[in-house]
Amino acid sequence: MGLFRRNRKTYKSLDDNALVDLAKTDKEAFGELYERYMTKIYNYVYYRTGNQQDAEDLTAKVFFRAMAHIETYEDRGMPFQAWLYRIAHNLVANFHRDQGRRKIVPLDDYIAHSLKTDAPDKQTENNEEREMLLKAIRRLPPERQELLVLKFIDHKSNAEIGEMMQRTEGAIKSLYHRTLLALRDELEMQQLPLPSQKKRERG
Amino acid sequence: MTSETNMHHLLAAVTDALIADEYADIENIAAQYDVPRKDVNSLLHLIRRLRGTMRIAEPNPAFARRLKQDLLGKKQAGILWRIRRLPARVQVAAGLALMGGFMLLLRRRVGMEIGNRSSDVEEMTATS
Repeated sequence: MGLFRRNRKTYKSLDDNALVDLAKTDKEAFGELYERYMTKIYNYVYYRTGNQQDAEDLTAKVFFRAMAHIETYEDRGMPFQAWLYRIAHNLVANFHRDQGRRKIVPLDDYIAHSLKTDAPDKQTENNEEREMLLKAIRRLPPERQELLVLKFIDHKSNAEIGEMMQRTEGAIKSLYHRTLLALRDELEMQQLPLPSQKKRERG
Repeated sequence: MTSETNMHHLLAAVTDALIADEYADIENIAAQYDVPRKDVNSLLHLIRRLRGTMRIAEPNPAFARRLKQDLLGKKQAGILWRIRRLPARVQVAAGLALMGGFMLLLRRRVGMEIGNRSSDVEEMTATS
């Protein structure tokens, strides 16, 4: 059996479809698919949930579910990657439903980590701005959050996003426009003083 | 093409350019589309902010390694890892059961010690 076993180098040269076929009987092939998509799925979940613990738990669930159902997967116009994102999308939706609320948790560690090189004053200012933007993103409807993650984190083209979200490329461009407008309005609302603050300022 | 469609194409082109290169000349790209500047400026600024804020978060390498081992069944997963993947209510119930068991054992042990001491005292009083 050992003689016929493929090495990791061989797996690397295979495309997703070939790997998926192998993965139905060979766990090592699934391991290669895992290597290809783990970070992407983790990021997708991380930006949709807002914290590392939930992102890790849900990422694990996505891959366990994918492995359990890979035998039934067939590429009927939906590539493996899109199928994986669909599983992640469903699990995140279930997670938010079970929570009964949409978590709004600042991505503190990530922000602190990404701003290490800035000067302290600028860092605080940038930090607040970024946190505000991330909060506003998380207040958007799920499909709009999904679009932003696929675009800015996974660097997917509009055509690929359309494939994943089962929409046309034109519909994705239109959704992106509406998402930006909603986000801009949301940020403007955040920057406006509250009515009580206005009264105090006038007084 | 309607101005709405123009706007969609402009936003897509600017975003793609910024994702490919953070310092892309988006003013030049925007100028190629027939869309009023006042409608575009705030959105261009927002796209820049999104590009700067939404960056890849690296998963914890230990988590990535453990999950792969768990998936491929290469190594028996650690007990803590298994417990962490249980639902929260199961974790709480397991914690309470563990504490209850520990307290029961403690109570039995203390009870036995008290019993032993009282029998010792009885013996001493009987001999004296």
